[in-house]
Amino acid sequence: MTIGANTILVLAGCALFGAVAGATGTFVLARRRALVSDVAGHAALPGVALGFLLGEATGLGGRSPALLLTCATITALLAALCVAPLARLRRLGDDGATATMLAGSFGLGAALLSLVQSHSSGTQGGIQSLLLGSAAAMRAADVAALAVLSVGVLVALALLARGLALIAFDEEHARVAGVPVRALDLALIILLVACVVAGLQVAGVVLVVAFILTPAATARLFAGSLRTTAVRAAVLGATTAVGGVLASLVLDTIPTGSAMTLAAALVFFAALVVRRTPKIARRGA
Amino acid sequence: MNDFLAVDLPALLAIALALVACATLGNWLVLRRESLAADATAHAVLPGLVGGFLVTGTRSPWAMLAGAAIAGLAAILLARFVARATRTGSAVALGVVFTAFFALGVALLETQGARQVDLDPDCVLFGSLETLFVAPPERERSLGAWMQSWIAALPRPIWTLAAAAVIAVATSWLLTKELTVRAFDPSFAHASGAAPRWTDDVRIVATTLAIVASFEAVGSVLVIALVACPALAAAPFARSVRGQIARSLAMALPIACGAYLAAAHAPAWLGTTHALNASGTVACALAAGVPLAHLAHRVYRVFRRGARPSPALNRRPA
Amino acid sequence: MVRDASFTLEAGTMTALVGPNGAGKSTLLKGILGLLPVAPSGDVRFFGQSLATARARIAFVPQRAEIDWNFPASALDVATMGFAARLGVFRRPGRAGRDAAIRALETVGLRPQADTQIGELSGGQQQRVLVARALAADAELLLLDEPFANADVAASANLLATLRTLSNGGRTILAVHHDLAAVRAHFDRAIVVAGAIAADGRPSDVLDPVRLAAIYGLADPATGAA
Repeated sequence: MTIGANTILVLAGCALFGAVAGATGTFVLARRRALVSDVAGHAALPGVALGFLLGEATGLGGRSPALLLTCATITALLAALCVAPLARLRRLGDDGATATMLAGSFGLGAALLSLVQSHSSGTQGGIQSLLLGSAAAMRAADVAALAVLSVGVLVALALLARGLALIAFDEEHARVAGVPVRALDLALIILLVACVVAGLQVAGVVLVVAFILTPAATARLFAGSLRTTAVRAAVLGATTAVGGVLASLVLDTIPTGSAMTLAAALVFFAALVVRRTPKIARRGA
Repeated sequence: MNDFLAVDLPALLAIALALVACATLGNWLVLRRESLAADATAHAVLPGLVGGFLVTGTRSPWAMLAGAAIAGLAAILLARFVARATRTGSAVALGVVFTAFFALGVALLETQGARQVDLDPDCVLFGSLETLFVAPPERERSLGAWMQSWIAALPRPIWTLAAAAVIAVATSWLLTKELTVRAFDPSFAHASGAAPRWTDDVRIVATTLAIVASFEAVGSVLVIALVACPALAAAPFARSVRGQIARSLAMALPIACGAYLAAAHAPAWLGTTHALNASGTVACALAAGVPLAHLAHRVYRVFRRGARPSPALNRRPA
Repeated sequence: MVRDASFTLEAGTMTALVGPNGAGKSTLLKGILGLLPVAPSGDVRFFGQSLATARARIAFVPQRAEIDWNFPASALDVATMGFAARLGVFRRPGRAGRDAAIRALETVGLRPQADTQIGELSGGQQQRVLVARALAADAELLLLDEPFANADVAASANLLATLRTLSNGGRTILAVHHDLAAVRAHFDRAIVVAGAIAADGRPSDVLDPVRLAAIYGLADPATGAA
């Protein structure tokens, strides 16, 4: 196993993403929005396909990453924002709304993607990397972009942490106290979508959810304020990501995304066993 | 016409059977507010599929299906354990467990050179409806004989689906009373011994079988749509559990079949060379049906209110 | 949380579980029935048997808030569930079930609402549907968790009368109740729960102002005047 410059890049990129996803995930779990991350992940797919098609149609080139990512962000955000209003329909509820959005967006993605596939050649591998991630193919530019995004998300989270903690602790009280609940919720969803889209390359559509949920769930098994938990989740996310990359290097055939997910899951179950009676963080930030 | 009989009809049959199998049992998931269990199961069966191949060393579909069923059930049980142990919602538990299972499945797939298994994540996710064709039988003497040879030539996945559909309907029909009591009020069911636990266990096994059988043919993208969306679309109109189940099937069948035909033939009609993934289109149509059904229900109630005052569906003070 | 709870119910009596909010009344009831996530320690016997054996003779009326009232069912459907609780797995309620359910609905005064969707009923009516379900189950022991929570005066009186008739007929009632005046007037026995069993006996003895003041932290709990 040689650790070349590329490997360092991949390690850095994955660690960064793991940290950001872990931190974001903590707040997502605190606000009970785990389902939304699932929807956002799946809803990125039609966005990417749309990006391809738009690129072809307008001659920008179907592979322009900026276009793809922008479209993915838009569709993911739209889908994520649709869940709550849909859930208010009678007899639909959170689970029903999420299932509908998952099925619909993933189905749309599959249909659009098939249009792309039948149109242009050489996208077979592209589809695979969308679904499962292509962390190993990260280059300096990707890592740089990821770094910029990570800093942005982390700064935003730091600013919003206090308000989000108040809302997570007691929403009614926070609302009465003048905390802008809806604005903060919206901000959190935007950060979540940013995370998901950033994670498409690292982990792919299906597994990106694992990065957001698993390290955060692990951190929440231990008592602590929301801030402390977020930091722990970030550390866990980064560590398991690095562990996963290294494992996939050693074991050679395990895809990076899977290795990272499995590492995070193993740590979660280990923590669960170690911590038989978990305390849920109740104190505000 | 030959094309229709050779390609479309088998695919339609597969979709219809998958719909019956999944949607019938999916009603119970929706009633219990567990719609997402289906999506989780569909993702979690991957390691089972590969495992079945690895353990038996054959490409026997039964081995793979059995493996998938076991993996699916294991994932559900594990998720339940996690939810209880962490006291977080089931959503988080499902998310952690099914991504882990899916990752394991992908890892197994890649490491074991399971190209031999003829499984690629594409097929697993997006289905293989296009491969379900019947080689058009030779010209037969009579329609009866022709139909017989056509049926005999149906690909194996369709038979699996038929079995799953039968099991699903039988389970739902025979256990309606118990499943209803348990879905409506688990504490009453437990305290008064109204419906034994095993009835739900049977339901879960049957549901897993339906999902596993379906996703072989239609892919996991369509499975969750088949399980949850028909019931969710029928829910606003439902006045009884039986009514909801019947309505869900009646509403979803034409939508699913119509969407398939549109996906299969619209590109040709429109004169393009694109192909449209059938499973994805059907999934999209079924999902779109949910908010549309709710909208239709609202409109329907507005009209009925014109005829006579309809009772408010919100609670009035005692 | 409740510690060291121990009591025996006599057949044909109406017992009320009273106590301050959060004192553990519902928890105790659920613990008895094995409905808590963590099983309480101790021994619970129903008619001298374990819960599993005696289940057929018990009916539980949960709090209204714990039900999903969007469930597609009519009042008659829910009442029939009670009757169906007595049947084996593959048996249908049939005519007998429908009749039993209608009788139960009549008893609680919901006969006109038999075909109404439960989501369209008022809160008090929904509570009564749950009682009807327990009645249709023809249980010897009824455990009710805050059955009077949403009831207006008429519904309360009706429910008390129903419970009285049942207990006079030999059935045993255990109900969580918050209205101490009503308990004094209508129940045979009051068990005061406040983290443990603080008192147990005839309401007139147990619910005396001095003792209750200590438990509730008020001067006169019946009137709430401080």
